[in-house]
Amino acid sequence: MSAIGQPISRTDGSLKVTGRARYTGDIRVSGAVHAALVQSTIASGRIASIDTSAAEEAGVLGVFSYRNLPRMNPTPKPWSHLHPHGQGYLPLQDDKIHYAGQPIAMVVASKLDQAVQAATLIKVHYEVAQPVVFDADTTRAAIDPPQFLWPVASSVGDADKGIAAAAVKIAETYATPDRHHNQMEPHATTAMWDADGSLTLYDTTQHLYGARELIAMVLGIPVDKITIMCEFLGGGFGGKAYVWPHTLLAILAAKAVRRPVRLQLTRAQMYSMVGHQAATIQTIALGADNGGKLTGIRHESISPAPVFDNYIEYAALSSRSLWAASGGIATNHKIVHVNRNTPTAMRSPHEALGHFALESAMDELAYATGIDPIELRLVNDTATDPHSGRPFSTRAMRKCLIEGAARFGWESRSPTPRSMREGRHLISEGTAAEIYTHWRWPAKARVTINGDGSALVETGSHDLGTGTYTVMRQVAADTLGVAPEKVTVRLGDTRLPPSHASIGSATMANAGASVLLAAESARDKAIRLALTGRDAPFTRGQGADIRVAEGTLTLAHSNVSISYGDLLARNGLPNLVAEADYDPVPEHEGPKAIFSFSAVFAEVRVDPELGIVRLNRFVGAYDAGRIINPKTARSQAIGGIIWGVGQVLLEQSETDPTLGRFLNRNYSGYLVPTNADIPELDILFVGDFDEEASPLGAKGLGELTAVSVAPAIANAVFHATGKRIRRLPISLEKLM
Amino acid sequence: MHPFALSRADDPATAVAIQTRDPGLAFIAGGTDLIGLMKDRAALPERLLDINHLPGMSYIEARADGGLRIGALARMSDVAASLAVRERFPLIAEALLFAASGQLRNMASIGGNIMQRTRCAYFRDEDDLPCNKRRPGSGCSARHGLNRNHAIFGWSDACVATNPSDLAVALAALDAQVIVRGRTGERSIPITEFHRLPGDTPERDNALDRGDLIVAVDVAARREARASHYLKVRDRQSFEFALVSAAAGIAIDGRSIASARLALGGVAHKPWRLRAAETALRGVSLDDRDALRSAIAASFAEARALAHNAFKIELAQRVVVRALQVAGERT
Amino acid sequence: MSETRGAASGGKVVPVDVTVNGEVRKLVVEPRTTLLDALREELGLTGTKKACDRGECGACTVHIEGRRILSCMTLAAMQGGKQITTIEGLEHDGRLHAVQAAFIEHDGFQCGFCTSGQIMSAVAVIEEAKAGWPSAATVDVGKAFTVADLSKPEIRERMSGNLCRCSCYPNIVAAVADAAERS
Repeated sequence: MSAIGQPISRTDGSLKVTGRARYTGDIRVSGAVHAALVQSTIASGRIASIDTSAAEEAGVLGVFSYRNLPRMNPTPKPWSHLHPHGQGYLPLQDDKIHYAGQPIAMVVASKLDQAVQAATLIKVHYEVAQPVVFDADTTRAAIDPPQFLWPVASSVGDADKGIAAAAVKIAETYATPDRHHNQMEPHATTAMWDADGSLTLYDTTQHLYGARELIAMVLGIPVDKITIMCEFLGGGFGGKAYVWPHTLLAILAAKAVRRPVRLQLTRAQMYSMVGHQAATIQTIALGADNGGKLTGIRHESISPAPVFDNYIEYAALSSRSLWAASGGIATNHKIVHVNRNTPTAMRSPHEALGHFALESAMDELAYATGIDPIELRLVNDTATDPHSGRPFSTRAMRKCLIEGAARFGWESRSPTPRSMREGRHLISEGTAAEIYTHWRWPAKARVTINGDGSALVETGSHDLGTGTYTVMRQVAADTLGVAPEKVTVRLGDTRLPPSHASIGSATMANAGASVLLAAESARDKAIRLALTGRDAPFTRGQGADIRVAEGTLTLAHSNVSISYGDLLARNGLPNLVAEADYDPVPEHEGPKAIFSFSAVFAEVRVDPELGIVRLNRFVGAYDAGRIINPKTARSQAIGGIIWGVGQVLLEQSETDPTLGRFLNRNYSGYLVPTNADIPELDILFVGDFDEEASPLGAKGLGELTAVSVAPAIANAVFHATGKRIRRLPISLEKLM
Repeated sequence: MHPFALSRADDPATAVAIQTRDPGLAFIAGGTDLIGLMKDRAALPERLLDINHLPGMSYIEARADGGLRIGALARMSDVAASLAVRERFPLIAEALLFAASGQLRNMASIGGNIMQRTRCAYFRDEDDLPCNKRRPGSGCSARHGLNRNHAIFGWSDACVATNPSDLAVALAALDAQVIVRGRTGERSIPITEFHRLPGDTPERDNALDRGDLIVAVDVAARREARASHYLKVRDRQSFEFALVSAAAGIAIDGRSIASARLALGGVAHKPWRLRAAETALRGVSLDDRDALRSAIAASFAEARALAHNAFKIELAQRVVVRALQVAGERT
Repeated sequence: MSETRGAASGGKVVPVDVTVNGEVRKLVVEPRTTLLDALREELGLTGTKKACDRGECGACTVHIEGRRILSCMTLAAMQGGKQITTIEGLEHDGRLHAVQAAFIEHDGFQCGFCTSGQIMSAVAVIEEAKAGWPSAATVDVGKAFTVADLSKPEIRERMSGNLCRCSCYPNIVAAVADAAERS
């Protein structure tokens, strides 16, 4: 029986339910000491003086500031996936203050409490400047940033002309707030130097090899002298994909005190020491004919970036490829330099922000034209990517909309706002569609078949909770023809064959492909051995005639077979090892446009007197290509939906306008959904094998599922109340 | 946390005596608020006195007269689980159950609950931001900063914080008494006078003096107690402090209100009793929404909004209407 | 008043004997050391996680005397003589606790970082329901509550002190409901 496609329970489950899974902060290193940070309490200015004498007298091992920390090499620009520097401004290098919470000193002591306490003894005097924050005034001075990931602007056809000539027009402004990842696991690093100058790191990272490259460059260490390990990651969501200042500080501290150094961020520090999702202000103009067919889309977004980096939230990206527009599509992004740390990718980067605007506007268009929201989307579906002109590899948008609507029971919806009630509550339904970028990245893997018939998969990928350990086992088991329990998977170590960052929902399609290819290669080696090796059991036939199942090779149309174990023994081999190098052309250079798609449906109940919105039920229909493990995939989907519930109803990082700092730096101030906020969620997978996306047929899923929850719920809120909320989150005062 | 010494008290008299003479000493019971304050450096006691072992302070006594006396060291979860509390004073059980989480309710004591300090983010920030409650004279960052969660009643330019206790709101509606043992012996403080308004001294939350130890909370039988409800409105469904909450208890004559007890949470530096509304509600039908609204409005003439919380003035009145309606369904 | 041994010398270490997972452990900690830090740093029991360190997420949930509490908001030095159970103590004779098995079966976790706390909480939730405790989801708190009343809305409310950022909530609820039914 094929393991792929089976709802197999997580192979790391027993480690996780017993507390035995070891996360970065759990790993005990002999002789390790602790670092604590001092952070700027002002958002802009400079350090006028810093007095570390009291801390130095507190029996600590080292106190560091810009005055004594070694200089680092400037960071590469522009930012890239290969050199994933979270932030271009390096810590403790000068006396400037660019943002609140900027690290300005570090204390190392043998006990954590001691380091934290000594850090409070450091006296800093500042020259204070007025911070610049992202608000209505500063957005007027937004600038055109240089490109870093995608082109900043795009224009196909003449969008404005298409809109101007349209029978129905929508032009609105939407806003999304700053948000923070708030992974349960705080970022942590333990850094150790060996006498020979080699560096070993336990680090909370979604990108082992990128981190290694970046650290090598910034700290001037040969790449081959650096080992980074991360066996289990307590949630990433994009926030652990890049190297942030604390990792560099821990490495330099360990060198200075000649001891292994542990540095774990506090929850409050996670608001300024690492990235976040930047706020956006988006304007959308849609034009359509009376039948709802789009004649033009213009989508522009402004977001804040720090004074030293040009980070862009590509919110308007979504509008480039989701719907066809006969006249044309134009998008653009601007940024405002403000006093804050550098934003970063956060589930779902770019798309979840842009879709809130675009798919809310589509709902507005549905009401303006009197066309059912599902029908409106079907009318504007397209088999060709409007942006690149290439055909989509697979696009099951129609299936998502139709099958999802059927599962949800959309046809019984009364479209008039405020028309459905249940006791004190208004009941309502909303929908939205989603498109998500597909990444094709190189990845390597190694597969070993052992003499006892077991197999080992090794690849430098990561398991952030996505199920990598489990799905790689399934891929290798099927390919090798062994039971899944026979396969061990090793991840999370730079000594393994290099893989790519575990971001952008790319792991199954790319790292998975490398495992597939390596397993195929190992299996083929065995087959060759069975045909041509010592005492070869198969005296006729060729590779294609040999089937492998349950660890045994069998020649077609014969009863001749041999197990992997016997085959290796017969040839005097301890094992068979094969490596694979999956090196696809980047998606944008391929013949087809590859994206994941979905349609989602939300039923909410609104207490109209108190303004309270709660999700009643939810159906998501997803085209993520072939699903390798429906159990872990479903979990990713419910996680993405709940992530979206947080986005639309609860989450926002609030900045005090005078102090220029994030204020709600904890779980009681920054609200994420609780268990009680979430009903049953219904997941459908409607995609097919996509050979362009990956040899495994899989497209990205994890990010996709968080993309259009916000507009679906916001559209449902409009259906309930007649109020169109264009500024997230939808807090109760907006509905009273 | 900063270094501190820890010792344990075995009898109340000694505990009171020790704290009376030691301004650097704080009592610790459940610790669920104090430890957070210490981690955020908003409290830096040099010595902690563990009062969990004081004898005879963890009881829940359902008195023969229908009243209730709760020892200060009784845990929130035990009080909420008590059938006597649930039957006699549903709003007390509800106020407890809508607070915090199951884990915290197992830890937190009743005395500590009403001693909780404000959740104002400026007050709690590790960075010691300007806050008169934390550092008198440093200013109030919330007054002209982010103040959606802050007060609409009784605030001063020195402090706009709210009291976070749910339980205290229910107790205020019931005119409970806080039994305090101090250096001059035991005394009883009405819960409505236990918490202070901020005025010019927001660093003082309540009427306790140094050395005072809460030993019990006393709730007399009230005819409005059975038809009662604690309604808590917050952004998420669970595990969050109130944006606005209301404790309502009524006595009914047919469908009209014979007498009402009302207090609001999340709106002031103390549980905010709505006495004018209580008076105006007498004789009003539970089915006459407009009359309920205008009676309640009697207590809102003195409400003053800050920049981001004007909605609370309307929300609070709607919350009271709803709490009365639900209480009315329990007769 | 009895000093908690040597406590007058502020910040100095004090000995505390606690029973952890059935075994008496002699701790020597500063008064400021939380139970969470003592478990992780002194006893090497790293299954209990530090995620917020402010009592706001539930990742550090352990049982003291059979009750679920937050170890990050508890001082180790105040727990002398107490029975403490952590996630490492839940298995019996090498067999998973029913709640642990249900979490695997229902995929009640993704990254797994909150999982120890979720499971410790879930075990207690079932016991609390058996003891007749109501919750904020209980429609009429004045009525007796039995474990048969432990509906999904009840489980959701009772498990809300444990945040999960991977957001596995529906699977967690399914796991707890399943384990409650079997118990």
